[in-house]
Amino acid sequence: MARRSGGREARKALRSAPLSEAIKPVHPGETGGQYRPLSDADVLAIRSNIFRILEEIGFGDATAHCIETCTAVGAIMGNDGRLRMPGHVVENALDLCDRNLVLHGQDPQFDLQIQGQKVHFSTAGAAVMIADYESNAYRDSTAQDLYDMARIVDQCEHIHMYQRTCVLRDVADNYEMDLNTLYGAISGTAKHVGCSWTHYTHLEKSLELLHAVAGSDAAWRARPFVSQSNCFVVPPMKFTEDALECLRVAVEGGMPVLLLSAGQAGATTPACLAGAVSQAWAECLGGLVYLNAIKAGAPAILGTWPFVSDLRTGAMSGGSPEQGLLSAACAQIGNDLNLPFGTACGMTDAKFPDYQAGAERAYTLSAAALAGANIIYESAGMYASLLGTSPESFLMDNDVLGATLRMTRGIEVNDETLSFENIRSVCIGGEGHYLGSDQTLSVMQSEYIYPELSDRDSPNVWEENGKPLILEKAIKRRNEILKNHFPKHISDEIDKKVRAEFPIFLSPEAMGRR
Amino acid sequence: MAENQEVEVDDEDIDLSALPDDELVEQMHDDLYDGLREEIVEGTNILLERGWSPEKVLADALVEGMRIVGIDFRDGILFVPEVLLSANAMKGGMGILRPLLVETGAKPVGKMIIGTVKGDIHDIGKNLVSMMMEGAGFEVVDLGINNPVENYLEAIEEHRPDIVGMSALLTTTMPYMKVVIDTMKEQGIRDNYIVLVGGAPLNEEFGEAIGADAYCRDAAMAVETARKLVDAKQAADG
Ligand code: B12
Repeated sequence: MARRSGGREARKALRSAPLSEAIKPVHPGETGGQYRPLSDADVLAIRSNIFRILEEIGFGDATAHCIETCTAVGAIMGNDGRLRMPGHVVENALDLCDRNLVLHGQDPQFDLQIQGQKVHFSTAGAAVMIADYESNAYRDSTAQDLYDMARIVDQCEHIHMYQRTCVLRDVADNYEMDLNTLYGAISGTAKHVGCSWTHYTHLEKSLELLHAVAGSDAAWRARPFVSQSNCFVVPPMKFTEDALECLRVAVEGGMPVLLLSAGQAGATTPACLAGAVSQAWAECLGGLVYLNAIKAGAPAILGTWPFVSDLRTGAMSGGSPEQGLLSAACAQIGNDLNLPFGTACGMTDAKFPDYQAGAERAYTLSAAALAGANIIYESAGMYASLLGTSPESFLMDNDVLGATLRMTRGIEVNDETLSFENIRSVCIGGEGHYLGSDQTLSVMQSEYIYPELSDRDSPNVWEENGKPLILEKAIKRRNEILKNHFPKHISDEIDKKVRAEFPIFLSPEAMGRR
Repeated sequence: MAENQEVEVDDEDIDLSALPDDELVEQMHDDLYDGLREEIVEGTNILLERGWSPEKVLADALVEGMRIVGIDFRDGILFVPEVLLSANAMKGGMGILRPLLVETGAKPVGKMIIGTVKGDIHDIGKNLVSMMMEGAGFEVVDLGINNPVENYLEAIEEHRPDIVGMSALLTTTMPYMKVVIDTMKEQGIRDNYIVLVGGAPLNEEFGEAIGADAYCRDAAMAVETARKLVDAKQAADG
């Protein structure tokens, strides 16, 4: 082996480049499952409760298509207007469903394996305001904000996919808003994108846009790089028509669906957490039955997003410990059923990036990640119980997510890592410390994760540096990214073609094109 | 006591009918606070038997009691489920008083229709407002979710409310509130009603811009605002 490694220039280049995959301390899809808030007996009890809810209580407000499709596979439409799903119907859907979901990026390096107990982080929305720290105010979110946040997320190693973060409040028409949400997101990042549609006809047009970007319908279907977040159920246990229509069009169009059940414990799910977990999962499995009745094996992420009500006011609390606990328990059930599973954690009820925000994000995230949730949505940038978002926060949260992944990865124990020989040679006749030992040198980057923005300086250094706040550093980094980073995975040529066919709101210049 | 945080007071021996009027009314305020429907029904009947007018029972015993509940809800002392119990007790009393109030031609507390607008299925907040309004003695007709303008107009026609309430939680459905208000204007009926709007993404500016009488940020404010505006309206109508 060559002893020279190129001196200063080479080392500087090495340190400023991303770590090689082999050395990286964390990767997308670290394996969770260490935190199990439910005992095995609890899991069994909840599982049978879920099946009982589906069989005995069932769903209200099913559409004609839903009733027809589900009764064809054995669901029973009652005289009371409720669609019930006996155990064998649910088991059958569980047999048919896709368990090895891949969420594709436009760039294959961002493909995500959504399976087992692998953990990934995603943004989500849809905030209606930007928590604008510099003006100390909340303001309406815009199309530019959505595109800008996509570009920022594109640069955040530990945010693995970009689900639309905000509402385009400067685009009045709902069709144009849906379409521009999609185009802004897929233009800003080559990672997998999640979007939502207000009407199925908007989705039909959006699929045409996706075909144009992918090159063809077939190319899109081979690597669908956008999934649909779909609130098909209005808890407790009611379907909702518009969303079911969007779901149907997604399945037919080859788009993976996030089957989203967002109850609020105490208001739309039981206040007792075990009941809330049961109902959330019953709702999602109901969605799975419908989905697989439309098309067996259609790609889906089961999304129990178990929100919490603050029972002093009725308001939603995303930063509560119960949010973390509920998500973790739902993940445990998801793992037990071996289904691709997503939840929502890392939200905060704070209005700005303050102590409360960081704490709520971190403890709810840890719970969900350590429990093995496959995708943790809303894991970065969200404030005020989902009403606000903040572009610079994604950069700070990226550190939190990296740290959470590191904890999820855990500790490898083997002869080498147990380090007996290292301890012996340092203690007996050695240096008396490990700072210079070969082992330290070899694992200094793979065993430890180093934050990009968090401050670990001594008070003296910190003072010399002008007492920087993490937020100031994040804003500076945000400005750099927004000035310089204009992803071009969608070529100018395709962009022109898209603009000729669809009402694109942001100018080419606003998206770094001339 | 250590095991149970509820304050237990030995109330078995309170005989409501033995209390003088002022103590009975005070006891009813406490019973409302504790959400005791049977006791409120009993207290209401006793006061009526003693010759109190239905208006006076309503104002002094029930509305005043719920006003106190409202304050402690606002201040975070009472939780939502507790306030709903109080509201339920209040409804018990109202069940007795309402027909009597109609008979005497007394001014009712007020009537409200409320619904979530077209395209929107969020109803947790709207339901909370309905329940709090009922708790404050208002008669509430709940139109549910996803209401096109026709539903509001029909309900206005049928129920002749004092207040038209609209809820929206989506930026995409908020503008529909203006459609409803504009239609009311076109039909020349806008000014006959108090229009209240609410929902998380709204604000005062928006309420003003679409021509609502008020935006209310939460259920407690809704009750307070409704009371104020209904009083003013009743005064103006003579
Ligand atoms: C619970 C919830 C749901 C539940 C609703 C269940 C139900 N039965 O209501 C479900 C999961 C079904 C749902 C669905 C959707 N939701 Co939603 N939802 C929420 C959430 C988390 C909480 C709302 C809530 O109930 N709060 C608690 C109550 C008590 O508060 P409140 O509603 O604000 O009401 C209080 C006041 O506003 C006021 N008030 C309310 N109404 C009225 C009326 C009058 C007359 C008065 C005087 C006062 C008043 O008093 C109330 C009591 O204090 C909010 C986020 C948030 N923080 O608000 C998102 C949120 C509103 N939803 C959002 C979205 C995007 C959706 C979906 C479109 C998601 C999707 N992709 O499909 C769908 C909408 C479908 C549709 N067509 O409506 C976005 C809004 C984005 C936007 N464009 O504006 C939000 C902000 C979340 C987010 N950031 O993504 N949602």
